Amino acid sequence: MHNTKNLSPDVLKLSLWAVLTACLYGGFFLFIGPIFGFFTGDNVCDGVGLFMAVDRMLWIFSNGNVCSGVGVVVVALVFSFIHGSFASHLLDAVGLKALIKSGD
Amino acid sequence: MEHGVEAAAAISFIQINGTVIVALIVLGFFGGLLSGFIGSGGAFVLTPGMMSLGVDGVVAVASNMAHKFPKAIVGVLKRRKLGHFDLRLCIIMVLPAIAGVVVGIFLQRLILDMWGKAGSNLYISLIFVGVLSIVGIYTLLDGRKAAKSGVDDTTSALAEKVKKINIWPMVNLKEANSTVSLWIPLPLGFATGLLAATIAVGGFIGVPSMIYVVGAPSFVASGTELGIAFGMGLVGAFTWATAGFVDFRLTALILAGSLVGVQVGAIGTSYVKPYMIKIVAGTVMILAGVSRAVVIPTYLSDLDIMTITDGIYDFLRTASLVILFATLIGCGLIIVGAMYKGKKSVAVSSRTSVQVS
Repeated sequence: MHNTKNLSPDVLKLSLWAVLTACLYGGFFLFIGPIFGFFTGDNVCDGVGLFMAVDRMLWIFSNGNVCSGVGVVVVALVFSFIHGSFASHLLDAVGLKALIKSGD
Repeated sequence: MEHGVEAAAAISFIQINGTVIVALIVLGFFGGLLSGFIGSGGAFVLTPGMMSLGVDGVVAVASNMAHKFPKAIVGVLKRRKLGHFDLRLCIIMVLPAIAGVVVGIFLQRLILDMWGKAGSNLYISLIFVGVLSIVGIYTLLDGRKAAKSGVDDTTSALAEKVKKINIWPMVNLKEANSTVSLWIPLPLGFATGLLAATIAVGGFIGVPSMIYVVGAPSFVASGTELGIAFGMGLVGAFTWATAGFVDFRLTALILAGSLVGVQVGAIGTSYVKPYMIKIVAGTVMILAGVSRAVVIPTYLSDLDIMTITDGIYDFLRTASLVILFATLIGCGLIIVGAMYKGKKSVAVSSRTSVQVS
């Protein structure tokens, strides 16, 4: 059995943001398109490839209506927050972030 | 080849494949790296880069605006803590800037309707070439001057004259350490928004005007510009997306690279002299302008204004892509080199302090 007490809070935080980021991109590119296609009657789950799924996603954001506008704004903010936090923790973990402070 | 047919075609999103995904992430990383290094949004290389990859200009601008504004708010929160953000100046400039964005988007759509996507690409490229040449040469000369004199932040004689214009209402800008008439920042904000909606880079007008006209210190100007960029980007992204011009796949892939790149670039800033940042920025701007200039004949060919052979047409498109990516890689090497030197000096100083203690 692993002793989780040995893991530092920084590593745990980094792992959490890494999982969230992976879920975000994975969910965005692999699942949102097919799910939307399911509701619109497109049988996209039938042997859909990665890039077809990516293309399906366009349906949501390029409809050219108020939903597209709100969707783009909200999802861009979510992406930036989650991936930005991951990037920040990653640099901290590999010791690069400390260089900014010492450089100043 | 009959390129004129393409000019009349409706706007379309590019096919995404593995190569395009990698290219967009790499472009985003280098754009972010440069953005973190020189403290700008990085869109002055991202929009040309996306266009060189085959994205229609109007889609590149729209998708770039959607990518920029979430990053800007993070910057505002950080810079406000450091006292590098003037809220009053931001509010005064962001309102006309938003009006400028709305007018800019209207103009873009008008040009697209009248001359098709080739006309729109030509319009965006011409603005890019003009703006990047002027700002790039000025930045490069300013960097060289600072390198020779050893003085980085020069005061503006124009700002001193502007402060003497006493037309009601006068506004006291605490962080910017300036008092100016309200009528001065309003047209500057509008021009910033207009440029942002045209090439997704408003800071080329916003930052210099705050420094040289309003008289704000450069760090307050760049911090306040982030707040203006957030307001413009939010409204711009919403307006573009409502009309169906945002390709969110591009936004997400560019974000994937740039969110890492921007943090790495910020490290590089810590270890180089400010004039070096200006020299790198100026050089990249000029080369990004060149990468746009070389494809202009292809758009003129699409519009049946001039005739070029298929070989030259393809060569110019490839050359544009190669020039831009080579520039970004070169710039990346300079930043990474600065980081390496910085890390080495930190290691030496920490060893010295251990020996002393």
